[in-house]
Amino acid sequence: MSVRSGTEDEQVAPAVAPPLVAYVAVLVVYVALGYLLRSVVLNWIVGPLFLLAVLHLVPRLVGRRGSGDAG
Amino acid sequence: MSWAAHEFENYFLQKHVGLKASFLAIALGTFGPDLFTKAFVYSSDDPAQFHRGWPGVGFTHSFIFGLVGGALVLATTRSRSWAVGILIGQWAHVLTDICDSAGVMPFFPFSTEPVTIGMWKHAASLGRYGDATAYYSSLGGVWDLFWLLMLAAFASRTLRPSYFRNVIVPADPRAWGWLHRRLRLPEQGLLLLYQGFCFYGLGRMTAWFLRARFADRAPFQPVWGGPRYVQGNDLSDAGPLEVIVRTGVGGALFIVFVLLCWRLVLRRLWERGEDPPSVIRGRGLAAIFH
Repeated sequence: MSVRSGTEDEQVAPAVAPPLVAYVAVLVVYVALGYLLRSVVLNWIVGPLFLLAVLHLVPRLVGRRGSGDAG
Repeated sequence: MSWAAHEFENYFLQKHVGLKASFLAIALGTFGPDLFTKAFVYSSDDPAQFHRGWPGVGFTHSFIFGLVGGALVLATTRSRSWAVGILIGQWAHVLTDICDSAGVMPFFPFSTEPVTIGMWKHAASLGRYGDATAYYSSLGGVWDLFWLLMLAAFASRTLRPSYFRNVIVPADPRAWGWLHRRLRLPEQGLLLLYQGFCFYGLGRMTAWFLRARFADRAPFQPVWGGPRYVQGNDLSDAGPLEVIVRTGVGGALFIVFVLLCWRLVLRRLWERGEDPPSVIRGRGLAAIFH
């Protein structure tokens, strides 16, 4: 993908969507949390970011920690 | 008010505008009418009047609000994709909210007559949780499901990685590029952010529906004007003919106002506006839809 901004062009690795089962699993977790916690997760900030957080940010954070511990 | 329908609409709209509007702007446009007002709606003395009426913040649910928002965005950023996105997102929100009993004032300030088809009851007087329970006990929940099915049937390709790469990013390379750099998100992260709005719609629709059935045990009454256990809260006593006449006059004045604004200000703003390299606009409606 070419993400163009201003004068800068950067080439990044092609997107690979997570497998469908990952989406379903995150959806089940989100619905369960939403059922129990309502306003904490069923809102305009947490809601749209939940997928990104669980499928990308958390694994990245865990990966970094893992590599940091190994080092 | 509509709930998850507003998230599903974004993708449906995007399919029809393609490269000509920013998805992030469409999403912001659909959130816009409730973004700054919803928190206060539930604590007001008369939530329906405050949310949709005048006096109140009902002007946020009018076409002029989207027009002003789009014009301001065009004037400050010169981005046509963002201006169009804000405009059509906000207008979609206004049209969708015609369905509940409080309705909207589409042609405010030229007509302050609420327009509604009364498909389900505006239930903000029950508080946020009560509102959600009532919505997912009425045709409102079915309305959300309808938009989900529309998305699945006619616009599911908008959720694919290839569509994100070939349409969503080229339509708004600045914003996605900024997110990419500032948040250090690779393409997969950006894709998940994009898909997150649909995920949120599906998730909250399911969670609120389950809560309404199993936690609150509210009766499911998907009938016109339901749920029956909520009191009616129409903002106007006007008959259908009165509504049609007032709205018709308001609509005509609004069109004249838009044409005047176009000749005096908007055309100049549009002409000095900029498009991403891959966007080719036609004239008239072809400037927005493809």
